[in-house]
Amino acid sequence: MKIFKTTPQWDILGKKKIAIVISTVLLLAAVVGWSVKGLTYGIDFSGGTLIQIKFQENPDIAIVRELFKKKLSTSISITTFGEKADNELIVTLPEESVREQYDKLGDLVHVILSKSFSNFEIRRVETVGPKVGDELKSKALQSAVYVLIGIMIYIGFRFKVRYGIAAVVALFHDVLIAMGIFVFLEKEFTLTIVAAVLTIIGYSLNDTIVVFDRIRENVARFPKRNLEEVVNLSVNESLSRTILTSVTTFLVVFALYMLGGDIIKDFSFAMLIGLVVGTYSSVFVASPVVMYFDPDNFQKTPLYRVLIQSRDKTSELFSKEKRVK
Amino acid sequence: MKIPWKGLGILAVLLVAIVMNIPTVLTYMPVEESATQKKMEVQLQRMQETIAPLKKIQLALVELKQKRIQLLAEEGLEFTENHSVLKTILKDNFSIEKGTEGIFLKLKDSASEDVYISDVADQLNGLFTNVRKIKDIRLHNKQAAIVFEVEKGKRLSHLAEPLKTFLGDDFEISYRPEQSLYVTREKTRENVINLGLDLQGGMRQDVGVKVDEVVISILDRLAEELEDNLINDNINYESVTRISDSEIELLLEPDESFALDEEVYKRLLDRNYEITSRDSGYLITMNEDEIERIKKRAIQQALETIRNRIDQLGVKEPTVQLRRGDESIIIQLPGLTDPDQARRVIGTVAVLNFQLVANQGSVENPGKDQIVLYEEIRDPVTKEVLSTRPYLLEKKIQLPGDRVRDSRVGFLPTTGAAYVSLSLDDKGKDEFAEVTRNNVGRLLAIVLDGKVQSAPRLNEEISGGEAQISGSFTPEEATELALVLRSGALPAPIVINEERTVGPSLGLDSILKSMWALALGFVGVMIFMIVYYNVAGVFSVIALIFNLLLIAAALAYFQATLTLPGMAGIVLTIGMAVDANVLIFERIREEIARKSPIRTAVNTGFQKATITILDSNITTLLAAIVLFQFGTGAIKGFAVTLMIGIAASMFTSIIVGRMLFEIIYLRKARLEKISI
Repeated sequence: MKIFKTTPQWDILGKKKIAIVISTVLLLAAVVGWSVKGLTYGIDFSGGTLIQIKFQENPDIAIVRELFKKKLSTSISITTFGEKADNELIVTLPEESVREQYDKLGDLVHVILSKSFSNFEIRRVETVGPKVGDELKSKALQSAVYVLIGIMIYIGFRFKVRYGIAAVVALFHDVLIAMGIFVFLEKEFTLTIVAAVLTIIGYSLNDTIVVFDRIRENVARFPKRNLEEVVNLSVNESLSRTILTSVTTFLVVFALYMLGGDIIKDFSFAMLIGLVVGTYSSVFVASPVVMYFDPDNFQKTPLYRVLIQSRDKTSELFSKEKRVK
Repeated sequence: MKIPWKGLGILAVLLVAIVMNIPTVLTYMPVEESATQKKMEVQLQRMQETIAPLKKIQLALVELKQKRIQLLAEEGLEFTENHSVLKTILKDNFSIEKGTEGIFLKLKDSASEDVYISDVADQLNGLFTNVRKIKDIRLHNKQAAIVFEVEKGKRLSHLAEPLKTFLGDDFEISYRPEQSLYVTREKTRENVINLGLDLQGGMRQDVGVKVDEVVISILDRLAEELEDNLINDNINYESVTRISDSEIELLLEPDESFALDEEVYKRLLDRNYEITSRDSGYLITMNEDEIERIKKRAIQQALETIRNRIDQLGVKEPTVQLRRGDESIIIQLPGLTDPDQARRVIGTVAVLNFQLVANQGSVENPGKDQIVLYEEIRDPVTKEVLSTRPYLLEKKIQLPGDRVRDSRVGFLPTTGAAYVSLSLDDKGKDEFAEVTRNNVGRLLAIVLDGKVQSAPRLNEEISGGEAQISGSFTPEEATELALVLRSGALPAPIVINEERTVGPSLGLDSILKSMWALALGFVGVMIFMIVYYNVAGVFSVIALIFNLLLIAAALAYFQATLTLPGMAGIVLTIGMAVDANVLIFERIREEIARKSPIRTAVNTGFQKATITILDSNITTLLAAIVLFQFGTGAIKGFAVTLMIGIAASMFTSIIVGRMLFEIIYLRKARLEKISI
């Protein structure tokens, strides 16, 4: 069985205008969404106390909310968890509202709920203090930065610098869009999502490198052909592999998403988005960027002109300063 | 004959991987063997016979002076010191005397010095109360375990320890609160994959210590002492005040000149302080180094205190440790059954003070040496604070709580109410005698963490060094209080930086669901690969199974903890392993399409794909390593399985995959076609 009878001969680089439009629209939407809606931080980053409660029968959220409000007089958020038949709620409270009574938290919840409910079980409690929230935020950011730097160095070392740049551009593209979709769906941003984002980085990179590897090999094989042709050929040659791998991985992650239970649902969801975006970017983003930074090509681009000009300006500045001295 | 070293090597790895997985499989596989069944039946009978008589005994009196404990037993009870559970508590330190008033356990003269009657009484009391909560003891069919059914919501914390000794090292006890069951079964083996707190349930806390408060209280005390000395020396001073986290300001009256050079002041203000002269006095600053030292010591002390308390809580495998280079303490309590109890035991500061209730003055307008503290009146059932009762106390602490040598639970014979009794050390004994002698007729408040517990009247001098805290305690609360007082006070209050608690039922849910997902995804991929690549697809499936075996073996070898994100890591690894296979097979297909001879096609395919696989996997490995370095708890688990998985998948897809090609195809002299 084969996806393609023979290696396809599609002009993928020729479609780069369409790709630019798609990517730009998605990126813009992500950035605009981000700045308008903002990320909804989960308690991992914002701090707070989360209590997951399983009821015997389907609980009335309004009643639960009223009971908590009466007792704690604070802003709380209540969401259902899992399937409706699970009868589970997640109650999120500001951490300081229970700080004084923290060592009686279980009793407190019982006191609050027993006014209207008789049978329930506290299944999970998570508390993150404000200090840790900030610490986790900076740690998450740090790890993302270190991952990116590590990747740039490795690719720069194994390939050429422009491949490193292209890979990182593709990564930014993927992560921004994935996060944008998260913002759009008003999903909470938690530590697990950070793990997912970092996995997306790893995965998308995996894909990108497979293509780059082909380009490198074909450049050596056909030194006479022009780069555009070689890049096109390479993308085409690795296309069936890209599709196959994406499909199989998608299969596994999708199973996890559907059946893995709710705690892991957001993680697998982020992975699914990442898979789609990552596959797209390795074909339509990374390779065109490599082309863009190809020396022959790059000298014709506006960016190059800007760079050259600014370099002239800096050198002018330098010479002026010298004169003053 | 040429020896196929490579093949043998791979076979050896495979065998090791399988062997490494045996303990894990045995541990988590439900066994139904009749032999185990028989063994457990014998155990069950032993247990029933052991428990039954204990239900008929209760603790009557502890007579410290006569060194004996009085027990009350129902009639007709045969009582010997050979009773196996009692033996674990009494050891050989007690002899049994039966009298008309009941049974006495008398401390033998030969008993070692460090046996405290009060401890033993405490344990016995806990044991008897606990045994009464047991409704039924029976065999649990499927799991070859013995279960103790207890009254709903009750715990057997005091029974657990003696039972463990009684059962021997091969058994362990776990608690399932939702079914009110205690389950005893044979212990887990070594080199087994542990389940993380999110999968088996339990509590993880990251607590900070308010170390700044330690420094501040030291400075406050210093300021007070300075003031006392200034009064003694008749110095005209205006004020001595702490003005920041590290400074005390001493202001003198304008016409007073005074140098801090007397012996007393030199002793108080040692080299840990810097003294700067000012126009109208002095500024006293604590050295940075000293502040750091105090803080470090406070953390260390808090760590030890918490560890001490947790050890007495009876949780299976607790860990209490300092977080690397940080000022917080990480506490992990797997399989924890009562989070609130743990929260209390960890978080109670337990600073105990004895202060006199003031004779004059009013609560509304306390004097300079007076302070108003409150007693909380609680609902006996819900434990809600209903009201508070103010007390006007003298600020002076008559006796600090660190003079307490031991504390335990007792029950008033009249009402049966629980109290906590304290034994003071020698110094405390003398001080307490003096305080009580000088203040007969007055009220002495017992203050715990700034809250008045009780304020009994002093009717006479108390010279025995024994004191009691009574209040409206439940037996559990009294036990907890005795526990925290026994293990000493925390140097400062703690703050909960982070807590993650997962109930056991949720953990079970999670593991079942993700296992299912994993299995299904795996089967889906296998079918896909076989349909798409035929025989080569079968190779990849074999490699994939091998891969999973290797991952599990590595996790077992490192005794790694499998968390939910860890499971996700394995899923991702499956994806990557498949990718490696796809890369190889696509290359081989390409080579075949270019009309290369089959043998060359396979070799070139592997060769070229290997470079790609290495490049892509190493970058992912890089990401995993960073995650491991910077991630916390859950993310670390993900990173660990990802790292192990990547290493395993490179090995299986490149080396094992190639081996399979060699065995099935490349050995043939004439190779014209392969199924790929």
